[in-house]
Amino acid sequence: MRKRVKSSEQQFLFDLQQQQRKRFQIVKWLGVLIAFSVVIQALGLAKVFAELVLEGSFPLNAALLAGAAFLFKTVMQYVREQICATASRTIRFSLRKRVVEHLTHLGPNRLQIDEDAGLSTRVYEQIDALDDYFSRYVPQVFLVLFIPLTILIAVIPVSLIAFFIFALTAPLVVFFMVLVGHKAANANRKQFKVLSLLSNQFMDLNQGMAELKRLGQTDLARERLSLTASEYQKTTMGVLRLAFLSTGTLELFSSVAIAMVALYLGLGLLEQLPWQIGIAPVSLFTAFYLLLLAPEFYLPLRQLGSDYHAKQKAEAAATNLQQVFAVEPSDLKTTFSSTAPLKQENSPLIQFEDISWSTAGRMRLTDLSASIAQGERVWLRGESGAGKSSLMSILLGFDQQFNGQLLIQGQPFNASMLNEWRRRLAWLPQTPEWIQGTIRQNLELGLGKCDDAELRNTLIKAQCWDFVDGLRFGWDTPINEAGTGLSGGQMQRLSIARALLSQADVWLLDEPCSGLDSETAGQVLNTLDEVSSGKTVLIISHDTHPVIWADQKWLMKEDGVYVEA
Amino acid sequence: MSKHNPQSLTFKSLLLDNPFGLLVALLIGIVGSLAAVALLGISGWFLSAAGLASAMGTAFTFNYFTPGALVRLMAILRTAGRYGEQVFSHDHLLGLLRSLRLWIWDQRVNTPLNQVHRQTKGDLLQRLVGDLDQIIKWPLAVVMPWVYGLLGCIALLTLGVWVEASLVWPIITYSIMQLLCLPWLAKQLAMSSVYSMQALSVHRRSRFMSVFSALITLTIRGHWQHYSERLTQLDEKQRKLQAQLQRVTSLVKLLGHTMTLLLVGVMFALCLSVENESLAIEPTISATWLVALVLATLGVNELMQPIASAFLAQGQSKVGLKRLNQLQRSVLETADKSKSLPSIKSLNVRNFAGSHNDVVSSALPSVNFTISSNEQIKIVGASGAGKSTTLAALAGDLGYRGEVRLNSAPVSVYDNSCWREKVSYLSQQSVIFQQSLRSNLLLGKPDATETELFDVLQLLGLKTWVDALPSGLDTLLGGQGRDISGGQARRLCLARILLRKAPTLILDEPFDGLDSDSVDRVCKALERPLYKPQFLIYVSHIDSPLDRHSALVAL
Repeated sequence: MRKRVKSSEQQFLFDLQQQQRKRFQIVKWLGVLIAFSVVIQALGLAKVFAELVLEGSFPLNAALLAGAAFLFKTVMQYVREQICATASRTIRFSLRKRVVEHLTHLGPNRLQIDEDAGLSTRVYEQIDALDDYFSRYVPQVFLVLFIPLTILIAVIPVSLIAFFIFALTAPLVVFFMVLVGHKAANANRKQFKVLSLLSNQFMDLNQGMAELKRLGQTDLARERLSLTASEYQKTTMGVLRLAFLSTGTLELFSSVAIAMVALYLGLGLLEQLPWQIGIAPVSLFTAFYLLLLAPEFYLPLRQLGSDYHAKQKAEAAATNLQQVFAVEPSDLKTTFSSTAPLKQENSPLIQFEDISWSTAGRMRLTDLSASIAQGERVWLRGESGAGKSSLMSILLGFDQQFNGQLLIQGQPFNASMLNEWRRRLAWLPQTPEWIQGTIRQNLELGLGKCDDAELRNTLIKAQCWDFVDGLRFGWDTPINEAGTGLSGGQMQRLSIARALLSQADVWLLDEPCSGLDSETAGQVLNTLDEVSSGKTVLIISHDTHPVIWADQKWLMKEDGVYVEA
Repeated sequence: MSKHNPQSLTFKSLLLDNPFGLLVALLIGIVGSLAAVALLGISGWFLSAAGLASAMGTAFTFNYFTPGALVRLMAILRTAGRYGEQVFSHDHLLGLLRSLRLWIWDQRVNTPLNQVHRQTKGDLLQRLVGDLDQIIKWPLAVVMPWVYGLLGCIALLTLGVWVEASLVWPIITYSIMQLLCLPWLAKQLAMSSVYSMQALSVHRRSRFMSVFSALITLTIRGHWQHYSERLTQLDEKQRKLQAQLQRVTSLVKLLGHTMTLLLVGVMFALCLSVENESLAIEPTISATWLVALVLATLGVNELMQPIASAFLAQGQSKVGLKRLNQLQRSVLETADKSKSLPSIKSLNVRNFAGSHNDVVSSALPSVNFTISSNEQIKIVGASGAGKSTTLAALAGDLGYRGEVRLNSAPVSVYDNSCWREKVSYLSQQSVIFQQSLRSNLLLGKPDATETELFDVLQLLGLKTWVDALPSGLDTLLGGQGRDISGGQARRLCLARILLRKAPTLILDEPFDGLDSDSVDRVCKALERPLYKPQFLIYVSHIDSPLDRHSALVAL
């Protein structure tokens, strides 16, 4: 088993498991104790039953032994469960911390993996989906070998025939389980995708609820939902029938084997075995002993069968979690030499020298050489996909694995100056970053408390005061995903106010006007013009929303950046 | 869920959603569970009786066919029962999933438009995925194990009384302890933790969503650490709760096992007496049946295992139900709106101003106008004056103050489905569904023919684009029109509402993102007799040929 080539998911899970090697080791030894107590319990009970039936007497010692073994087993199981659960928790919660940290370092690049809602499912549900694997499946894998082996050995001195029944059926059980389980595993994986498609469809229709109502087609949408859900039910049942078949075969084999053992023992006791009529190959004591061990022999296998889906679930989750780690952060590793050149006072604030950047064979940015002086305002436009947003990502310090050099005030940009540099930035993306909270909390986000006068002044400067003051609760009005009845232009103005409040002197704007009609966009750009004079500004905007007040115009094309006068 | 079902979700409504399916699963499960207990009991009896017969020398007269056959039958029944139960119960579970999803959809439809976005996407998703998952497991994780346990106890009681009448009370006590007291104990110990764990996970997710949606701002301001620590704290709390729940679950299991051990001890104690300083079985009791009884008890012990963790599922589904019921909305009062409106001859709007819920509506100026058949009105005003709000309110999307008169009779237009039948409204945001291009268009007119679709696409200048697509009309569009240009999305939405051919057309910035060629095309399309609306009200900052025939109304 150890030699089998591991898939990357299995390796991922194995590495996680190794973190708790000690606990799992203890769990193993507890499993050994449990296996022994199973055998002892069977011995004791068999003795009690045999004497009770044959002689009508009750061997108290044997009964106490069986009882003690039972109690011991139960307590050991309790301890074992606790340790397994602790191991699983430790693995999951430290993994979660790691994933969150990783996502943080990815910054805007995290969206290459999934949207935030999807990421939150990975961080919470998918990691918790590993629970059954670590708390049930992994410990069971050891028991599934050890308990049957112990029982097999315990059976040899008593009855060779029973030994052979056990020894021959066990591999068959495993064989069929693997045969059916393998198909089910693949089907199961697809199932995960279908389920999330189903949720997507619901969310998509829900998003367009207003439009559906306008068109009077909510019933049509309901029908669609109903139809896909029914289809899902049909295909899932196909998968599940197969999946349950694998546990079903296990059940069948163990049931039939137990029945076979019972029958063999019964006929043997009656001296009616076809091949040895008139001879009793077993005593009543051994018969009971075997009968009691028979279910225990198959129990770990059966349990593993029902926990098998835990493994499939975990592997599916591992795939998703690996995707998270597959996107490497490049924010902190710096590719520059550490020799710090002298600070040159007269060099431009930002200087790009032959910067190009490609990830995974895809060119994300080609041939950029340009500079921005302190207080200069630059309009960057260009075809979509030419790498405008990648440039922002570089300036925000989330990507540093490009070719060429980025100089900040003449100094090569490196990790040690990252924090200082970032504090100078204000970031206004296409869709402003809003948290769940009031307008005020959003403006103060990451700044600490500001005093009222400062807040009011800023709002007035950003031309937000009129509409904020008109709200029933003023700046204590909560903002949610859809705004508060504020228009797109007003929301964008609020994010300008936020940038103003932060005292940042370098402003990075990624299409602040997309989604606004040209009239509103024009007004937002005017406000930007007024408030950003004296600041260093890099603004990405489409031709449809020209930034007339820019000092420099850059045009980004597939083959490079052209600086216009 | 069909119409006669109760509006509110309860455990009862879960059971009654598809009672037949649940019953089939339950019956098959009962057969399987009892067969598992019987398999142990019968085998035990068979062996003892056979051993006894052999010892007494009556082996040749012993009928071993019937018990042998019974043993095999029980083995097969157990397997078939387990398999059947799993298949049927999961079928039932998926059916439940479907009806619950549709129930949520109905609640969403009934939610007034201005409240639809109260629920954040993350929150709704949590309810749709997380809570639903908890709820559909309820019959499987709570009801069925308990029923199996109950029937196992009854079977045990029957056998016990038959073996020795005095066993009746110990077995009844045991059953009560296992079926009622232990679940009660678990509830006392852990229910509050279950609830807080549920609440915490919701809180944690919204915190995650909130913090991550502002990740870059927080990072560049150097405050990320602080926020992410809060996230870690929440996680740590969750971890402690999980540990506590695990302890309770294991403890209940431990107690259950101990209870079984006690019961077996009592069984022996009641069936034995002291004879010559050693214990012996009471002469009136058949030892073979006592063995069967003890083995059956061990079988029932296995049946009791799932009950130990049922309290967890019970608590989680209870919270889930509660949270889903928060989405519940009573059916919109359609009584007075249900009678369809007469055909429109004229439309009169007085002191009309739309209002968002949270905005002081007096801030928006009101508007007055009258429009008769074949007239056009363009609403003009400064940015932020409320043009879009007015149009949205007129189309029934928003609340309003003032009055709308239809053929001089007042009519309430807000969220009125009959009014909506008369109106086609192009909102400022182009709404594209994650479906095929065809399905998107058919939302305008479900029975439109292919010719009709291509006709309107041709008119709006989209036909060449659609023809060039490899899958043509069956091309799957991304959600929110992610993979098409803004102008294409705009025109698709226009095509959709043109197909409706409603008498009133309300257009909010119909030309946004269109080049001047396309603008002309759209205007011409609106002039075509087939698509020309009876009344046209629009807002646009782009001048178009449409303006020539339009009266201006200023806000």
